[in-house]
Amino acid sequence: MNTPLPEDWNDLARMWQADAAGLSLPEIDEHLQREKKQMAGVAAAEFAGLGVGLVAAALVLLLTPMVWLGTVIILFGGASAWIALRLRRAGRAQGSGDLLQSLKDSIEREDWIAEQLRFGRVLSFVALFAIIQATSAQLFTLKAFSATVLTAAGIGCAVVLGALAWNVWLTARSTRRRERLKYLEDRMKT
Amino acid sequence: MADPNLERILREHSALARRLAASHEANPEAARDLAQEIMVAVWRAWPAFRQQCSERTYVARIAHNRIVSHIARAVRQPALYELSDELPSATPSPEEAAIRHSDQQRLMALVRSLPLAYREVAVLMLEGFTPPEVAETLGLTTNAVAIRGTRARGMLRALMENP
Repeated sequence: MNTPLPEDWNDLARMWQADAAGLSLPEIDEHLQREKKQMAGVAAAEFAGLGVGLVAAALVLLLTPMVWLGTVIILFGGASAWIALRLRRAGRAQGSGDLLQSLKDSIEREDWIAEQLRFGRVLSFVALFAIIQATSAQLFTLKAFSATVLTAAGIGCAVVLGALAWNVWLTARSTRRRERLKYLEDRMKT
Repeated sequence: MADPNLERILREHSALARRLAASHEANPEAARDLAQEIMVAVWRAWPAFRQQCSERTYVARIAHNRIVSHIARAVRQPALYELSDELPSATPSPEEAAIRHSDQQRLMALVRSLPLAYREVAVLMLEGFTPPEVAETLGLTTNAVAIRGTRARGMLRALMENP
């Protein structure tokens, strides 16, 4: 049976503070290890994506005469890696300001992330446009169906679309975070 | 890892971090993970501490920052709450400890059901922060803290009467 909670605020505060179990050093150590593993996992996924792009570019450069396509993929991969690095380097704010300031800083950070990702999406569309234009021009010059040209263009498009899908996923997450932060900020100001 | 600074920070402030985390996260495992994240953030931010406020205000500010990030991240995850079977170390009899523990859990659950703007104030007041300290931590005026504090107490009392 539940006993009634004390009505006096000081008694409630005493009850609240009586739960004094803290955290241990091994727990923090374990948390740091988990954090390190998660970061390594994300970095490995991004490196793998970049690796796939470079391998695709190398295959196109070595096995087909379409130097332009390999160059587009390499340039796109380099630019995408640069954006990913910028996002990674912009770590979280230290957060020692007050709550409303923290919310404001976090919303600004999400806006900055959205801007970087928008630039990445523009880059993807430019790369796709370049691949389609150049493939059409190549096919027009050959005046014949070429499986090599189409395969190489397909590889290029797949690399760009893969990066675009990753970008859209990150954008959706960032948008959700921003909406939530804005909601919390509004609630705190009310 | 044997950082004496971290050991001291943990000893003096980790209970506060754990209670703050639990007042926003109903899932005990996620709350523990959040408390760990808070303490890591406090440890990393410690070199920048310039005594501009009290240590626990500094810890509470960082804790709130991490809690906000956690809420923003966990937007799609439902809050799962299960009563933990764990009991605090028992100086009182096991029965007394169980009653006290369950009372604390009930109080925590009631506090969690307060609207955010009132919950933030109520939690810090329960932690023993003065109104100016609460205002400093949340970025509100002392007047706003006083108003919200009074309303939060009223809401909590109403919840205790009609849970």
